[in-house]
Amino acid sequence: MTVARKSSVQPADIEAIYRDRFPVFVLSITAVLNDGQEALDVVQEGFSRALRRRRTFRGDGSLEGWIWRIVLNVAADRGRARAKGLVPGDDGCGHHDPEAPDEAIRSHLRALPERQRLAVFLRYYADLSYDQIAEVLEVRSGTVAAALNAAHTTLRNDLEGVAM
Amino acid sequence: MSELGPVLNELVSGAPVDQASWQDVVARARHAKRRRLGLAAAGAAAVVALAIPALGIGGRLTDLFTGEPVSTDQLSSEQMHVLGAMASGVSPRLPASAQESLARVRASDLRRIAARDGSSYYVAHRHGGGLCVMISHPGDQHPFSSYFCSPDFPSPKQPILDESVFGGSLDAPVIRKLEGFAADGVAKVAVLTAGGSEAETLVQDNVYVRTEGLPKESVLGIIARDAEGTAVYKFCVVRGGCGN
Repeated sequence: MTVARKSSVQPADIEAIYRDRFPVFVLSITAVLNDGQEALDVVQEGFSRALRRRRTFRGDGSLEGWIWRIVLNVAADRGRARAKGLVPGDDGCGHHDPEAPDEAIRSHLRALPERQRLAVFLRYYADLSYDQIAEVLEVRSGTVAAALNAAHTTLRNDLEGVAM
Repeated sequence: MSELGPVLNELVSGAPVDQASWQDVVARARHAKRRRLGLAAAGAAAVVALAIPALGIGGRLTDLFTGEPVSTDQLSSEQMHVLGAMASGVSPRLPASAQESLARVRASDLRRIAARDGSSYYVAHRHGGGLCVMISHPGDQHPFSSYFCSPDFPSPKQPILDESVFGGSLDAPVIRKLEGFAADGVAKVAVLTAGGSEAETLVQDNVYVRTEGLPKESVLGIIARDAEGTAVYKFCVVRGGCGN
């Protein structure tokens, strides 16, 4: 029988993570949403949800990993709303040059399967370990390694020929 | 993924990594609804803030930069990196050479404006306007206990930048330490409690700190007053405002 451990998360615990890790949350979500101000709003909203729901934290993983899941869920909701036209976002109508290297990599990153894309961002921007990424994405560490390897290979192959 | 590094950095180059606002997080949690965070919202604007334009609060802290210049020799490499990145509007996560960090810190005109009980209070110019403030407490594990950059501080819109420590619950916060930075023209900062009492402290060298004699009852907000005792800014930490 599994008995959930009682959580004793205090607001100060969440605040400490916020103060220490705010920049990497914003960077990662900016990469996910391709919109810095939207990412800022998502991170703020995610942490506020974590504050409100802190009593539901079961303590069977790290607190930061739990917060990452909440923030990524908010980002996913926002992405879905944007896709439905409910939230303004990058509609591709800006002055983008599809030939530019950064535009090329943006499109290649968007084309990656979601799990691979998130693994890349969490690894690079948040500097999370394979185990931590696995916890956030709720997969096994081996799956993270495979996802990162696949993403790396795909991007390297796709970007061959792109002037960087 | 090293060959992708520069491109991945470029993808997030405009990320607003210097707009952290824990007060905004707390306010959202209390109001339990999403509030869009605008460009200037970084703020401490947080909860229910009432800025009352008043004489004596200028657009900048005239005394701020008469503080003691901080030699870069006094800073650890980690402090240099974090401070340089924040003041320059880039992420501390992004790599920077020691030389780059040094140049950023020098450009920020870092000053120590006050020291109290072993703690040091710093300010630096923020790239794009406003200030970055930092507090270093004895025994800190991190480069600074707290740091925050705001495009609106100091101004009538944001005459204080509060870094107070609260305990208790979200619905009934209790203040553990009253601490923050104040613009010229702010003479006192007070804690307003649910019982209607106030505990105030004087602003000295644009800094206010009080740890002793703070009220034990729950706090409604923080009030900044000028030398005549007129409230120039009220910042409420509870839902529904903090009354008159």
